[in-house]
Order: sequence, then structure tokens, then C-alpha cells
Amino acid sequence: MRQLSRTSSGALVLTCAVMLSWGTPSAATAQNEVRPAPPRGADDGGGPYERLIIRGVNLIDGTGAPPTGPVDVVIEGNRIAEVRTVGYPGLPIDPARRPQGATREIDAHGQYLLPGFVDLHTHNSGAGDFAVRNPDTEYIYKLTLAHGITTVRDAGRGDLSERARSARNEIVAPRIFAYQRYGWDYDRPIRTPEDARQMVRHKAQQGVDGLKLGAEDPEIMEALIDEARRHGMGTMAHLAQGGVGRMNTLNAARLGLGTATHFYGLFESLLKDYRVQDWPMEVYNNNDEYHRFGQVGRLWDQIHPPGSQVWNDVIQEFVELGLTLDPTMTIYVANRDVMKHSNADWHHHYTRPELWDFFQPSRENHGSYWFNWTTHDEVAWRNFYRVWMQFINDFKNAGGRVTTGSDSGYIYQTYGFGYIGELELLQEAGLHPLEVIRAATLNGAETLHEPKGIPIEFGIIRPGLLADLVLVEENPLENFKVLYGTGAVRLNDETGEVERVGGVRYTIKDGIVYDARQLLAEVRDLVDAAWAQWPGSVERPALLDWPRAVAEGAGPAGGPVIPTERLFYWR
Amino acid sequence: MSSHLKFHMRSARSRQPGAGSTVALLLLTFMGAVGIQAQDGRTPDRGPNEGEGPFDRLIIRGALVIDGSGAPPSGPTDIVIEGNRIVEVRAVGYPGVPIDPSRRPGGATREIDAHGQFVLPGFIDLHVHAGGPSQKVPNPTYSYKLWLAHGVTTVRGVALGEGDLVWALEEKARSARNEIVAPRIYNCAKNPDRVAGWDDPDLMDPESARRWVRFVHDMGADCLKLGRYAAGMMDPPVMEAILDEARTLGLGSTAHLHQPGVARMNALDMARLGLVGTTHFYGLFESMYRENRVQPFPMGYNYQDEQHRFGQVGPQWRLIHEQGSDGWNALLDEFLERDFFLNPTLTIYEASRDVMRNRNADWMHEFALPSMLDFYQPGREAHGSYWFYWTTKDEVEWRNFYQRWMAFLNDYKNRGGKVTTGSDSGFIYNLYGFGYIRELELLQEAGFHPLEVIQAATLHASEELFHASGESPPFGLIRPGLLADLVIVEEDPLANFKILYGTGAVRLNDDTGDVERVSSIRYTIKDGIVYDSKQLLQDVRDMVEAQRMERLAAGGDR
Repeated sequence: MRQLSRTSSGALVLTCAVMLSWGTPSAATAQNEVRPAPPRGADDGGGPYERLIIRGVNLIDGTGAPPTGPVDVVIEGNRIAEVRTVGYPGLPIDPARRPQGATREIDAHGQYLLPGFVDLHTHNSGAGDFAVRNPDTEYIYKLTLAHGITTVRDAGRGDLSERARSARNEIVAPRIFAYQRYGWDYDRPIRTPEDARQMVRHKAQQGVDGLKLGAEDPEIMEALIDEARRHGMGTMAHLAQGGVGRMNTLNAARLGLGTATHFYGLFESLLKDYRVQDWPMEVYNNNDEYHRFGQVGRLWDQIHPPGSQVWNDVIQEFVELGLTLDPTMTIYVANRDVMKHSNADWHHHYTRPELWDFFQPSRENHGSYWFNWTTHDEVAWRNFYRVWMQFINDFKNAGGRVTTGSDSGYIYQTYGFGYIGELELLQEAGLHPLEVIRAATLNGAETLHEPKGIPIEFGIIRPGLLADLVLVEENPLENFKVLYGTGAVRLNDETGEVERVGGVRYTIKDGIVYDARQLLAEVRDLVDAAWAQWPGSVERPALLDWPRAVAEGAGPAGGPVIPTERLFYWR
Repeated sequence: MSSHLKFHMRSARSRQPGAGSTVALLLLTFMGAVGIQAQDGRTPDRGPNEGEGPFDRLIIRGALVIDGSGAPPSGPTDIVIEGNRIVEVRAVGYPGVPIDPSRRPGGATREIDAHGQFVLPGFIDLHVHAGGPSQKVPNPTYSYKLWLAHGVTTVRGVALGEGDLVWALEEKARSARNEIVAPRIYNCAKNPDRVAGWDDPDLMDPESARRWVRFVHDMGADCLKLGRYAAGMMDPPVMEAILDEARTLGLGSTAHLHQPGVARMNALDMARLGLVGTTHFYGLFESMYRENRVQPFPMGYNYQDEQHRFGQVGPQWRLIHEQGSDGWNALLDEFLERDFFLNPTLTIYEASRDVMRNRNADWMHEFALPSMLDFYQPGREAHGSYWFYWTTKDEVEWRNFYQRWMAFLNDYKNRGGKVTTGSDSGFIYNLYGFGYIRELELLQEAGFHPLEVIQAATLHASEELFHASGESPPFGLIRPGLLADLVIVEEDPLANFKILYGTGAVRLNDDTGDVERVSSIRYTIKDGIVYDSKQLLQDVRDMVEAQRMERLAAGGDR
């Protein structure tokens, strides 16, 4: 999601209006700033260790290689030092063949180890209305880490101070790559290409990692992308309706854009009967978000269809130009089923009141356009997703790079949970689960490192790379739902009880081992405390936990029991 | 849903401590809460305050009529109802112009002001199980009221109860006499082993099968629900005899073609034998496999394991002829030639593509009996509760399955084939009434225009019901001479089917800035009797609350 283009004074006005309607702004909102994350405490994460050994794990290395194990992974400090196969399934492991000298061990036999996930589209810092709904970053960071995300691309404000603090592990947070919005934190007017170049040079001097662009005027866009490239800065673009008439994804890719995020500009690159979207001119005002988002869904059949010459040509050209697609399907998925996402399992425990309030239908809150969201709207978006997914899958199969981004914090998507939703959606789009993991790890790392002209430092499990890892007790390739903080539902045949299994066990960032369950518990406490003080009009979402409700009752009755089997196809 | 195999085990949901006594106490509570007299699961008599009419001359004034035929909305229209029949449908003016009172029908003994509102034919749910009397729905008045509250004025029980045809016929008669608050009921006979007085539960030979068809016809069944409901029922000679006899008697038929019988009796086989229409998807995909005659089940598959059963439905999308191919088109063409009806019940399997959505649906809190919630939970014994470990992959397979299934339905509709509405609610996180409205949404998702959805829900469904008898349907359209089964809706349902849910659609009120839920069914008129939908919903809320209180009193956590 992109913030609406607003002047800084405009943002201030909006924030004041929201605060007035609340009556009692918190300290953070009074300052109009997000509270930075508190210093990392002594109990927050263990390590880094001189020699940490993760024992006996099944390895999913991020390259697309299939799972393999038992493997011992040795980490020294913040680097992976060794990845050693130590035996065979079904046989005892010979201790003499295993690496020695651990100062800390994690018993991970039968569990799964993956590279830390890379979320290429997040908002975890900001001011104004962002601060109103996210009074502190601790909440965001902990949910992020608890879902295995060890690196984020902050695609808005790109806070350099938080980036530095995270790099020094002074805070509990993922690695941050700071991408800044065009014009953010820059007070000179940008009217000419040279103005734009100056702005980019200024940001380059500050050490900003990249630019978050909109659909700027062509000559400005060209200057921004070119200047960014000269300074080793990445570029990502949300090609919004306001400018897409001259700057669709194909136009931007030809100028050298790095990442196209969301769907904006993509469908517009494939339009069939017009060069602009066929907006209904009886009623359309781009600043009415119901109009804007309701009409996006209707794009699905305004384009050259899947498999057509134009469709295939555009894919081919994207691949040749080296464009990365970061679709963030998760952030719009409520558009095809808003009831589902407003009732998600996690809202009760994990969505803080300011954010929940923000999600409710509102003409002001970005992404809360449920003024009258109808069956038609959902059906249009279901069709839209079908076509969008096919494009993503065809692009991937043509050799294009697809990555994972969540943009959580809007449209009923809660941090961390929304990211796992993206993994599920990529599988729905046709990616093999191993391709999904590669999108989430290696592809993300490449996208971040490529503009800098340096090899990846994380993103796969290899000796020499940084120790950013996720350990999961269940097999995530079998079921990505096990990665949700609320877990996956499973019937326990031993006890007859319905359980929730999974959730990430440990997230290791830069050699520091975070207990994901503890992070989640801390978030629950934080959310409970926030609701306890919540003065607002919205009620806390209900605890929807039906399986637990039948946990009482006896186990299976006596008598012979037919064994149960889980099925799989050899395909 | 409703495999016969599972019915024998339904009672195994006896984990609920003290269930038996709960039922009795619960019913006492109902009596207090809802003001009805109920004993041991018997549907209570309609109370004096339940529904108004029929009236000598009821006039619904000034409505926009959506007549069910596919015609677009038109109004202002006055509809005159005398007793239980529509006698006149008169256009009385033009939008934006005052209505001339002298042009309007007069003499009303009761009027409903419906200016700016919408009137549709009552909806028809061709695939229902009322639940009761059972543990999950102790009294069918719960299901009946949820149906009526959602505009459903006719249901086809397949079977209505749990196979007890005598009980179902009694319910039909009581509803026909309006002694109970219930939609019209049509009954398909199903499990031979549960028809009182019938002597051959296995139906192994054609002669016996013919005798069975005559037997249930004489009892008063309207139709047959076919499938593997008896050991021999899906054997070709037996099925041929059943359908031949049914045709001779003018008896309707529908089929759930279970996996254990489908290898010899898929939807196409059945259509060729004269089946009126099929329900669900069973047998449909099997009729258009590319390279298999039998589904290539993975080794280790056990039909009686419902995760195996339902988990292996989704992957069938890979096995069939592609949309638009000769194989795909040939099946459509032959169905069409045989005037075959498709009654898909998309709604009942939707949780398979998204279980969290259905488990957490808006209505579960307020309208699901705790006993329903228990039944839905993952369990090896409760039918349709196959969430032993439902993965991303399972959901993705089912999403792909739905795409093909929907494409087939839409193609069939576009060729002139008749698709009808059914819900099968009461399983798989689907709730009575709500599940039916979801079917309307899903048909729209399949590509149906909202007017085509309404046509499926009214006219086409009535045609399926009366197809075998050759009678002209007495309801299903808004026409003089037809029965007065109508739904009055405050807003345009074609613009948004969500307003038909008892929990309504979410809307931002720009005048107040408040977020509201708009639930728009105002009245459901069945057989000339006007039911207040909001009151019916309140009755259901009271039943849910009563059971909740009862459980708390018994020491449960809900």
C-alpha cells in the first residue's frame, strides 16, 4: 500500500482530525511519531554464540533444493560455519561423525530449518497517521520476527536510525533495508529531472538503500531510476492510478526499474481496448477509495488474456529486463473475501486496538474502503486474483524473479500473519512450495543485494553467509499454515483432541536466537494491555477458537482401532 | 453430503457429557424462551403470533418486482394476494413520478407498503437436511426458522431427517397445513433400511428395486435420492430398474454418486438412465476424466477416512478434459440434450478451499447452536468434519477444483442447461439459511448474472421439482394464479446478495459516520402467510442462547 500523496502539512491535518475524534491521544500520537523500539534486554534472544550447533535437522536451503537431513548446522558468531550431513533417515546417527565443540546446542531432530524470510514490502516506521495506528515499533518487529522474517525492506520512511540499531542488535528487530519514498524527508521542490537527481544524490549520501517510487512523470522517473542506479541504490515502484497512464510497469521496467510491487501498472501494461483503464465515468473519483479499489477488480477482463501474444510478450520483456515482481497478494486478499479476513483467527490476540480501529470502514483510513463492499466486488476480485496469479506463475516459469512482500498493517492484515498469507497465496498461484520458499529467501536477498553490486550475505543456508534462520517443528512445505503464530489445526489421534500445531520455534537473526513463542507471548501481553486502556468505540474482536471449545470429552472408546494414514501422491 | 455409512455412526458424537438429559432440559428452556410447546424433538405447533394471514386480500404496494424468470426488476408494481394465491401483478406507475391512486388495485384487507423495496419469488433449497431430531439440532424448528428467515419458502429434504420417511412425510403435511412454521417440504426417499415396513435393505436385484420405488411412491415420497444408500443401489441393473420405475410413476430423482459406486455409475451414466438431475459434484468430474476410468486414488486410501475422501476430491481437477475441449463440450451437450439438472451445492464444500473462513463466519457466534459447533469440529466420526490436518495444499487443490466446477456450471447455464440452488447446510461449517445465501454468492462467482442466480433459486429449482411429474410448477415465479411464496427485501439484492444474510452486509453510513450491518429481508411470505424475518431470527437467537445457558448450568464451558 502506498500512502496517498500528501504534502506534509496535509498529513498533519489528517492526523489531527483522527486524534480529535479519539479524544485522548496517547503520548506517541501526541508527538506524532512512532515510539522507537526499546533497547534489547538481557532476556531478549540468546547469543550470538561462539559455536552454536543445530542438530539433526531437515534442511530446506532456499535454493529450491529438496529437504534433506539429518544435518548439523554450525554457527560461529553471526555466520554459518558448516552445514554437514550426519546420517540417513531411519538409522541412528553416528556421534563420531558430527561436528563438535558446541557452546550451545539446539536439538532439532525431525524439525525443519530454513533461511530467514525476507519481506520486501513493509512499513515499520513512520509518523502521522501511521503513528496513530502503530504507536510503537516493538509490536511490529516482534510479530515480524515471530513469523520467521529476519529481513525487511521498509518501503516508506526507511528509518536509518532503526536500521542502524537493528544492525547492532540493540533492538529486537529484523534487518532493515531502508527504502525511502520519493521526496520523503527532503524539503526542496522536485520539478525537473535535475532536481530529482539531486534528491537521489542527497539520499545516497545519507546511506539510504533505495527508493520507493510512484508512477512519476516520465522524465522524472527516468532521472530517479538512472541516478539511483549510479549510486548503487535499489528502486521499487507502486505505479498508482494517478500516473499510470504514462508510467505502467512496462514503461518503468524499460527505464530500469528494479521491483514492481503490488499489481499497479501490471494490468495497465496489458490493456486491450483502451490505453487507460475503463473507469466508469458516471461515478469515479480516485480519492474515493471504494471507487479506486472496487474498480481495480474490474481490470481482470480489460486486458489481453492469459496465453495471448501480448501477454506472453510482456512476460518475456519483463524477464529480459530483469524486473522483479513483488506482488504482495496478501494485502489485497480481503477484497475477494472481506468476512474471512475480518474474522481471522489471530485478530483477538494479536491485533492491537489502534490497528483494529484503523481497519474498520472509513473514508479516511487508507485501505478501509468497505463502505458497501458487495458480492460483485468480491467476485470481480476473485477473477482479478485468478488472472494476476496466472501472470505471476507464468512469469516465474519464464525465468522471472518473484519475491515475497506483505505490506501488512492495512486491509485487515496483521503484521507477520499477513506474510505467511503471502506464502499460501503464492502456492495458490501455482508455485511449488519449494519455489515459494525460494521466493521468500534467495530471491528476496538477491533483490536487495543486486543494486549494491555485492553478493548475497543471507538468503540461503551456506557456510560463510549470515546466520539468519528459521526453525520449525512441523514441515512447512507440507503446510504453510504451521508458520502462523496461531498454528495449524490438527486432530490428535492419540488423545482425540483437536490441537493447534506449529508456529515458528526459533528465529535466528544475525546469530541471535529468538524464541518465537516468547515473542508471541510478549505481543499478546502488549495487545491485552492496549485493549485494557482502549477508549475507542470499536470492540475487541472476538476470540474465535472453536476447536478448543470441544477439547473436553473422552478419547476414543475401547475396541480395536483401525490405524490411520496420511496420504501423499508420488507425482 | 450425508453418506449412508456415516449415518449409522452419527450417534457417536456422544462425547458431549450428559447429552441426553441436556436435550430434555433444553426443550423446556425453548418453551420458556420462545413461547412454543415442544416435546421430544417434535416440531412445535405454529403459535398464534407466528406469521400473519393468509388474508382475504393482501396488497403489496409499489415494489420493484424481480419475477424469477430472468426479467429485470420493474416497478412500481402492486401485487394482490387472495388467500394463498397471487391474483394480480399490476404496474402502477413510473419511477420518479407520483403514482396515480386511481390506477391501483383496491379493496385490500391488509397492505404492505413496499415502495422502493424488492419482491422476489420465495427461494427454493433443493438439498436440505433439517437436522432434527438429533443431537446437533435437537428440534428442526431451528432449521426451519433459519430457512424462512433467509427467504427460503420451499425445501427438498434429501432426506429431511435422518432417513425416516414417515416422519418427513408428516412434517410435509403439517407444513402444508401451516400447522408449523416451516417452508414447504418435498421429500426424497433415501435409505431403504430406514423406511418403516420395507423388507429389503440391500436392494440387490432389479425387481426388488422396482418394488421399493413403488413402495415409497405409495407412501407419498416426491422423489428419490439415489447413491450408494443400499449395497446394490449403484449397480447398473438395479439403478436402471429404479430410474425406469421412477419415470413410469412420475417420481423425481436426484443423486449423490458416492465414490464407492461411481466407477460404474457416474453422472453421465445416470443421465442416460433418466435421472432428473444430480447434486454436488460427485460423478461429474468422473464423467470427464481424460486418461482414467477410475480415479487414481493414492495407495493407502481408505474411503471411510474422511480426510482421504475429501482430500482426494480436490486433486480431480487435474484429471479432466480442459474447459472448451471436445470432451468437456461433449458432456455439456449430452446433459443438455437430456434436459439434465445440475444442483451443485457449491456452498457446502466451500470450507475445503478455505476452512478458516467458514469456521469463523460472522454468524457462528449468534446463530450456531453450541451443539452445531461441536458437530463441526474435526472428528473422525462426525460427517463432514474432516479437518484432521487440512493443509495449504488441500485448500489450493480445492480452489483449483472450484474453478473448473464453476466453469462447468457456467458453461452449462450458457448453453441453456438448468442449474438450481441447494445448500446441504448443517455440515462442514455451513449453517442453515446462511449457507443458502452463500450459494447465491457462489453462483455469481461462477459467472452467473445476479438475475440468473435468482432464476436458479426460483424458477429453475421449481422446474426441477416438478420435472418428473410433468406438472406445471405452482410456484417459482411471481405470476397471477401461482402460490403466494414471496420474499420482500428492503434493498436491491441483485446489487449485493450479502444483504440477504441474517447478519447482513457491512456498510458505512455517511450520514452518521457509523459502520452498520444492513440485513434486508423484511418478510418471507409462504402460502399467503406473512412471516417477519427479523422475528424469526430473534427466535433462533433465543434458541441458541437457551442451549448456551443450559450448557453452562450443566457445567460445560459454553
